[in-house]
Amino acid sequence: MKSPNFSYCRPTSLEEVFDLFEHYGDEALILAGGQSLVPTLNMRLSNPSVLIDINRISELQGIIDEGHYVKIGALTRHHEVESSEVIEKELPLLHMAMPYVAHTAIRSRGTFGGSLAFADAAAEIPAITLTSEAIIQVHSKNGARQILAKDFFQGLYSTALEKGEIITGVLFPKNSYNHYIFKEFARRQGDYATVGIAIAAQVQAKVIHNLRVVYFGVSDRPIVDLQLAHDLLVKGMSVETIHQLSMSVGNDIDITSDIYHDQSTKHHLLKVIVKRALLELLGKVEDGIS
Amino acid sequence: MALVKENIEITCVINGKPVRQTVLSRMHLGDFLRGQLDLNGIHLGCEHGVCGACTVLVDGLLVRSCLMLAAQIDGCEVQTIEGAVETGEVDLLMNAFQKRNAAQCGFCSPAMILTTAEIIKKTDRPTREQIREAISGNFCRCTGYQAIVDAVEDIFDQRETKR
Repeated sequence: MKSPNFSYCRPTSLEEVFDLFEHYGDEALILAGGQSLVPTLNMRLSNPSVLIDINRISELQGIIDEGHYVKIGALTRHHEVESSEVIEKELPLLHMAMPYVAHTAIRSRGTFGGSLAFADAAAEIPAITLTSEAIIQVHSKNGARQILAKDFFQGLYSTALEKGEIITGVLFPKNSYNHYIFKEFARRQGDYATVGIAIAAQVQAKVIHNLRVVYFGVSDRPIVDLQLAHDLLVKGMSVETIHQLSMSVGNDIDITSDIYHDQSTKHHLLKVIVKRALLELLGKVEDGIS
Repeated sequence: MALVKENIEITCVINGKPVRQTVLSRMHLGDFLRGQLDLNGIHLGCEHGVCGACTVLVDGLLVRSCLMLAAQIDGCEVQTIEGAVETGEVDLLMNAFQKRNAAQCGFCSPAMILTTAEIIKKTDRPTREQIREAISGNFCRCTGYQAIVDAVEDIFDQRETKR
């Protein structure tokens, strides 16, 4: 369980990172929080010649309220997001999800951008990014571009990031949702979800006007369920419709098994978690609690 | 362009003492502390961030020393169980572990003490469930965690009696 040999460097600016990318190409890997990369090194699943440690690039750090958006720098640590007052106030769904992101010692080091770049299908941060319709900012030697969360996740550990690109930040819109639900099943607190769900709803006078439902841990990437949201808006939220609709959830999803759970178990757990989440949402709406 | 190297000189503070050493780029912090500084209270279990036995504090935050490179602690302050014992800050907790039989084989204990010390510092009166959540990143294969939770609760009981 010892890492293979590699060289190490610690640039202090993005320009230096791009120069290093140009020089070393595919041989170089970015080291951010290292909470997913270092295990793969220790297990010799990755074998870079050079590790580019970006932890000293200060422009990638911090949470900024930009008016219509909250910007989270790529190097912002999970524990900073978890305890941020701006996030608690402006992005309640993300605030709810952060305690589920790994264990305390991992949250001390793990970074927001790192979680997105790694794109684990069962991770919380990609799912919340997708639910919140966030925008991922990436930079390369050729300039900057922005990628919508729905286009960013392209499969198991696969993203829209291209060669020579690095995530620099994420823009979360302050949208009109005012009710949120976050739930997951995991074998132990802090582990990746077996099945998870995030819901954002816009509720006025106890009526749901807009709804966004995202599942994670069920397929090769986080999944938006537009059909369920549509059906709930058309049929209206009631205990009966929730029971009825949750029974047919997941039939159109390519559900992937993991080492502990096969497809049918995951499918069953998905139906259970959808039902519980929607019933909880219904309770909040009826009680007028956001 | 930033210098690319295999031997990296680091300057840091470990358990209150300044340290200057050269480390290999591939060496993780746990191996550095054990191998180069003889701080053997850090235990290496899984070396991929699952068991928590290698937990230390870097700049006041709990981290897994197997998931950080030694090169990355340049400029940082590190505290290991040896440092915490030296300052006396975990005396009560160690006594409680002993009294409650929360250290059986002892492999997880140094990291468990550092982790539970943080709960004690940062929480008012956690429930048993909250204590279990806080230690969920640290494996113990002997106690079933019951005794560890008992020991942590003892500290809060002592605190309340004092008030």
